[in-house]
This record gives sequence, structure tokens and C-alpha cells, in this order.
Amino acid sequence: MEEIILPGILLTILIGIAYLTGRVADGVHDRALKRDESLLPRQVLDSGSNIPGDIKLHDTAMVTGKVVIAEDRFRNLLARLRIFVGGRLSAHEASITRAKREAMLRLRTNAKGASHIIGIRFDSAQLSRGMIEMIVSGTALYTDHRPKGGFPSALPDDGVNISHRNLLVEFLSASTAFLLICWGIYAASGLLVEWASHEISVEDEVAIWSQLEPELINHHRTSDDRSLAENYLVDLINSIPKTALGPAAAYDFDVVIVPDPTPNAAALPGGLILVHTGMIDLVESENELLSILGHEIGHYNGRDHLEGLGREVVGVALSAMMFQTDAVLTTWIAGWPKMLTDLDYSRSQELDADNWSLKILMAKYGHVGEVARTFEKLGQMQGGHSVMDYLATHPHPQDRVDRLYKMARDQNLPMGEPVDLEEAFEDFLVRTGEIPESAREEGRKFSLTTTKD
Amino acid sequence: MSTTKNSTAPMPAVTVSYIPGREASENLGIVFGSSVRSRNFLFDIFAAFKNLFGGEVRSYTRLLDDAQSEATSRMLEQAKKLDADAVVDVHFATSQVAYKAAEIFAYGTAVRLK
Repeated sequence: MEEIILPGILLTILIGIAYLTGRVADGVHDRALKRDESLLPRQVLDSGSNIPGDIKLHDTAMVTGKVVIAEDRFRNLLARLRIFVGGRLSAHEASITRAKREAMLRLRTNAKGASHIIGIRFDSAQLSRGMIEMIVSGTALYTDHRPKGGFPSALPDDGVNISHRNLLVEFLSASTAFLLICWGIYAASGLLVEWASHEISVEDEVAIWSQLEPELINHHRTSDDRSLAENYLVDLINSIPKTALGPAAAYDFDVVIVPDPTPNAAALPGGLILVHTGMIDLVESENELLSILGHEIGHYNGRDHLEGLGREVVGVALSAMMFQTDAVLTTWIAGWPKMLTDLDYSRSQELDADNWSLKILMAKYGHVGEVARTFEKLGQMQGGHSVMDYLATHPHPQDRVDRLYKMARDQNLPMGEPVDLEEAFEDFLVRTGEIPESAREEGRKFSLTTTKD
Repeated sequence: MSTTKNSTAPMPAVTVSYIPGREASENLGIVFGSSVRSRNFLFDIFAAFKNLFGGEVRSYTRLLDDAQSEATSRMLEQAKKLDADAVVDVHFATSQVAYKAAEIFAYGTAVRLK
């Protein structure tokens, strides 16, 4: 959450400042234009090439007027939204019109003393994103003619070229349309991803994943080989009776322990389970650990991990498509899909995963003791319910505890004594010959997060 | 001809220096109209596909069409405010104000006719 809220606030402040400075710049330029235009002497302006015949021509010269005006960030963003939803870019109208008037003003200032400017041509280019360049050229005629009255000293009232729409109203309407469209695309692609993730079999998924570069698969792993703790976790998963695993039995599971203090675990495609050290530090019994691993295995059975990945891909593709050229916005928006995926493990997906967790514990130990112990501890750490729970990526731990106990009660599953994690780990080390039997008797301690190879 | 105008009749706008068959009496200066528009993202995606195979991108042609007629009518509106009878020597120019958005502007010389 924090990685989205904080940059979001900063971005809003930045754009708010841009809005204010942009309005100030608009007003200053507008007033300067009106003042300078009123000071200009009268001249005959002609977009054609009529040299009047009844006057005495002293001199001729080519004259130009140029200006480059930068748009503020707020209007840039507004234009980006408007381009996406389609329609008139009223945000740009005012500055485009002012650019023309300014260029015209400079043309006429450069043609000081000329009575006529004929063959007037406007040209424009885009020097840089968010900047408006205007160049106007013409031929100045220096004559004995003194034009008076009848034609304006400035470009006529520019009101017709500006929609006079409040920029904030325009911003509100454009961003509402934009969000609705994005939501629609996201929802539609979600259905598509859900369908696709159920179509892909475990075998296909593993086959596809193994074709990918090993670095990509293992980029969470800091060392080349599995650590002893990771070996133990894989061994623990492999010790579950295959019949209890469901479709996930087809995976060749791998575990990576990620040095991250937040208590979390995740299921990645291809059967790679990530467990944070923060989670392992919290766990005291093997049963707790298997409850967590079983939950992740449940996500594999529900194909939830593919759905999450698919949604993330869609989200990134979507934001890249729309904001490809805006680094600040892209970086900010790139944070969104990750959050949406986390949010998007629906209640039913979590329930199914918990069910698998219970089933796996039953198959391994014959009871579901300590199935919710870790969440109980998490709940005590977090305290009571708060407003943030409604925004949080996971339900409040206490809700999960209540839910798991209710499920166990409903299915009449027995509770039993847990297996101590340190003892189980030591058993594993002795069994695999990593430490001699005698080391245990010496009272040496082995913990999952501190043991190195 | 009189200077009274029929307000419902469209004001003539031409790309040459004169209204054929009429004579200009007074130059009122430069008038211009502009329009900045975009199509929505769906059209942009279709256009990108069209870019693969070639051929006319109708949605963008329509975009130019809409922008051009709005620019012209805005130009004529300005001329009307100056009490002009016609706009001569009309030119069109385009600019790309932002990626995938087009500005078309029309400008010309507002004149009063004899």
C-alpha cells in the first residue's frame, strides 16, 4: 500500500503545483499580450499576396515571428487522459491560441514601420513533448500609406477558439471516463485470464516455465544452491502423501527463502514457493509451517497463481500502453498491478486454499493442530481491527483464524499436539547426514533462518 | 452590393485572393480558427493495426475532417464578429500538439465586399 499512496500523494502535490503555476503563467501572458497588442500601430494584414497598386512602395522585407510555449504538467496529464478517451483537447486550446497571438505580435513588432504585411503564413512544429512552437512569416511593405481605422490592431477576439471550459471540470470528466474504461478493460481481461489460467494444465505450465531462462526462474534465489533450510522445506512438502496434494502433485516443488521481515508467502508459476524470513521467524512448529505451505499449494490447485500473474501482465501492458512516455507516471502506475493482484485473491480462492491446507495437515499428521497459530500471532501483533483493514491486501489475521477454526469444526477435524520446528529441522539434518547424531546431544541449536550451508 | 448581410447564408471562404465576380472594398485583417482533437484509444489501436497492412485509416481521416470543419467555422465566426462579408486567401496548417492528437488551423484575410 505505502509504495502506492506515498508517490501518489507526491504526484498529486506536484500536479497541483503545476496547475497553480500554469494558471498564473496563463494570466500573466494573457495580460502582456493584451497590453502589447494595444500598443502596436495599425497595419494592413493579408494572408494573400496583394500588393496594393495605389501606394508608393519604399522597401520590402521578409519578417518572421516565433514563439515556443511550454504546457504545464497538469495540462499535459489532462491532454493525455483526453487523448485516451477521445474528443476535444480543450486544455490545449488556450495556449495554442496565445501562441498564435504571440507569434503574430512578434511578426508585427519585427515589421515596425511597415504599413502592410502580406503573404502571412503560419507554421508549427513540435519541438518537444508538451511544448507548442509557432512560427509566422510574411512580407513587410514599407510605404507612404498610413493605414487608419477599419482593421484591428490585434488578432480579433480569440474567444471563439477556446472552449472556456473549467480545467478542473474537464479534468474530472476526463479522468472519470478514463477510470471507467480502465476498470472495464481490467474486468474483461480478468475474465479472460481466469478462463486461460484454468485451461493451462499443470504439465503445460511446468513445461512452459522450464523453457524460460533459469535466471528468470531463480532470480529470487541469492545463492546457486538451495540452503539447508530450503532443502528442509522441500523435503517437508515431498513428505506429504501425494493423494492429499490434488492436481498440484504434478509439480516438482521448489522453495526459496526470501530475506524479508514481512511475514508473507507466495506461490509462483512452475511450483516455486517463496517464503519470507519474517514468516519463518514467526513459526514455532512444523504444523504451522505446513499449514502455510499447504495454503500456497491450495493456490496452485485453484490456479490462482496464474491468474495473479496474468492480471499483473495485463496491468503492466495496459499502463505501458497508455503512459509509455511519462516516466514518473509509469513508475507510479507500475506499482498498481502488483497491489491489484494481491487484492484480487478473492474470498472464495482463499477459502479453497485454506481447505487444501487443512486436508494436507490431516494427511501428514492425522490432525489439524496449530493450523491457525501463525495467524493468531499475527493478529496479536497487529492489534484490533482498523480502518486500514478495508484497504489492506489481506484480510485481518483474526478473521482467518476464526475462519480456519470454523472450517475445522464443520468438518469435525481433530486437533493434536504440534511437532516442534527446531526438533523437526534437526531430525532432518541428522537424517540427511548434515550433522552427526552426537551434535544434538551436545545441545547445539539449529534454526531455519540462521543456519548457513 | 450592400453591406447588409443575410445572417443565415454561409459566409464565403476561398483559397484565392478574391471572391469570383465580386470586388473587395476593405481589408479587415487576419482571422483564424483552430481545433485540437483526438480519437479514443480504440481507434488508436485500430490505426496501429492498419499501419501494419497499409491502406486508408478512416477513423483518422474523420478526425481530420471534424477538426477541419470546426477550425473553419471558428474562423468564420471571428470574421462575423468583424462584420466581414467573406474570408479570402484561406490556408490550412496542422500541428501535432501531443502524440495522437491533431490540431488543424485555418486562417485567412477577412474582407468587406463592395
